[in-house]
Amino acid sequence: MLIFVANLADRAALAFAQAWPERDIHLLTPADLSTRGWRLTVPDDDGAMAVATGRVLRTRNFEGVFVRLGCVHEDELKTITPNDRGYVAAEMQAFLFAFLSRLKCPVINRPSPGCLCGPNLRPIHWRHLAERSGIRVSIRPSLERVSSVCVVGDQTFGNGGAILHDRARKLARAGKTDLLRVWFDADDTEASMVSADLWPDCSNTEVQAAILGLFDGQVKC
Amino acid sequence: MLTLLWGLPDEEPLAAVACALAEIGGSYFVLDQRRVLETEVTVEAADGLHGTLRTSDRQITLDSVRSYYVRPYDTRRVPDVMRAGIGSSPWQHALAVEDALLAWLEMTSARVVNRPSTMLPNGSKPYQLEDIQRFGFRVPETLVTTNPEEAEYFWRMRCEVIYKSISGVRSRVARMTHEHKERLADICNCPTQFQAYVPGTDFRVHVIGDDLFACEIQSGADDYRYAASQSRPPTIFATILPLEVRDRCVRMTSTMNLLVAGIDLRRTPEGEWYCFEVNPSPAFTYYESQTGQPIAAAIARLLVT
Repeated sequence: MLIFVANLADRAALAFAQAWPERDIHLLTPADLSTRGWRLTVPDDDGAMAVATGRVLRTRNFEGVFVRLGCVHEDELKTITPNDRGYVAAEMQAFLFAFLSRLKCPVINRPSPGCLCGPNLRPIHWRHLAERSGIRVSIRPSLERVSSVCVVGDQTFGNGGAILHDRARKLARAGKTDLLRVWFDADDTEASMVSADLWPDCSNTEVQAAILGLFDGQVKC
Repeated sequence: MLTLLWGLPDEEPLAAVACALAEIGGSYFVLDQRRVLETEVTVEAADGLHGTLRTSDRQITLDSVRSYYVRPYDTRRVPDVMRAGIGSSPWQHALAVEDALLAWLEMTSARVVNRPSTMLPNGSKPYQLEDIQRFGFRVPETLVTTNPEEAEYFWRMRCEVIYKSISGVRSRVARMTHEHKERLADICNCPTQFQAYVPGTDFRVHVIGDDLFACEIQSGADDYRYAASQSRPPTIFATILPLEVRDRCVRMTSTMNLLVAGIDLRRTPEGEWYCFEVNPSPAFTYYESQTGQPIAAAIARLLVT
């Protein structure tokens, strides 16, 4: 059983889940956090429960979790009284962070404090990290993003030559993240890194297969 | 070299640190968060890391700042920003200033009390409790659930249970009473945190670098921090912790990459030590005023060394 954590408007995540029916993928959205069935204990008693698409699930059956949700937005909590949405969103965010951090199965990307889907780095922080990793960085980050490379574990996808793919992989390693999209200002060897984010294009079938491959052969929760 | 203090100048901990810096002759500048609309920050990360801060009367090269003491509040609540309204140009400017400063504080090699990323785990109480266990402290049995029956069972099995927020928002502790039973159905809407009540004596420990200041709190309230407002002021006095507990506090603070922390402990009648929370931005002046412990002076020393 695989879990995709995404917001309701993330059509790419929904399409991805639907494209692989044989993988038993369950979509978990913030609306599921307003559903009876969640359970987490400290100390851990190995009885954690989650809710995905309204179904109550034992986390010990999870084989992997793909996180596309950076944070819980109050705008998405339509069933919550408007005045309480800010507080409830903060509570859900704090809970999901603890919940996802606890899972023993592969979680792609592992949450960090402040970001549910990977390192909580601003664009400038990615640029600083790139420079410290020996990757040429554009002096004008507002330049149009010409090409991008998606990193999925050890695999890379996108335009640009092998050198750009190597640089993207290097940055993902420096950021300790499995999934990363790195933007460059050109697609040749002279290209400089412009920015990076945690949302690779998961509408691409090859990228989807690579993401699912990260869960294969791994231990369950 | 300069120490930069960021927050509200009249907020007690910030004012106390500024005063302590002045007493030891430390050079400092207070960046008033209320004047965010007169503030500009630029940060560049190409050809090295460089930053500049401009206010109406001063320009500071951030690269040359030796240390930072930061206690910012929600920028969106600054009166001028609130008046301008959501999405307005001043609103966007204020968020951009905050974002640039937070980014700088994360990347600079200067001493930062405390770096933003190290403070964030405190925003998820169950996450931090898991972490705290690693240092040999006991933590209260905790259940987070959206299942009313599960919560009721947890309560029934433990006699006394408290509930508190999971995040850092509205972080007040309250004991479950039978009036709450009727409202348990509401927890279906949002995961809610319940904890077994731990009887005992409260201790607040401030770790400042290698220094440690412990105080004991005597109070009959569920959450002594709010006891004063309930006309039951707690009694607070300086104390000395057992060496092993003291070492755990220092090690935990250091491992969490915090330079300053306020740690909430409770010693049970059986002598067991529970830890509830590690606060990365403690309002230490409350304890300092009660005990006379020189906490602000210790923070000032940390910032200038």
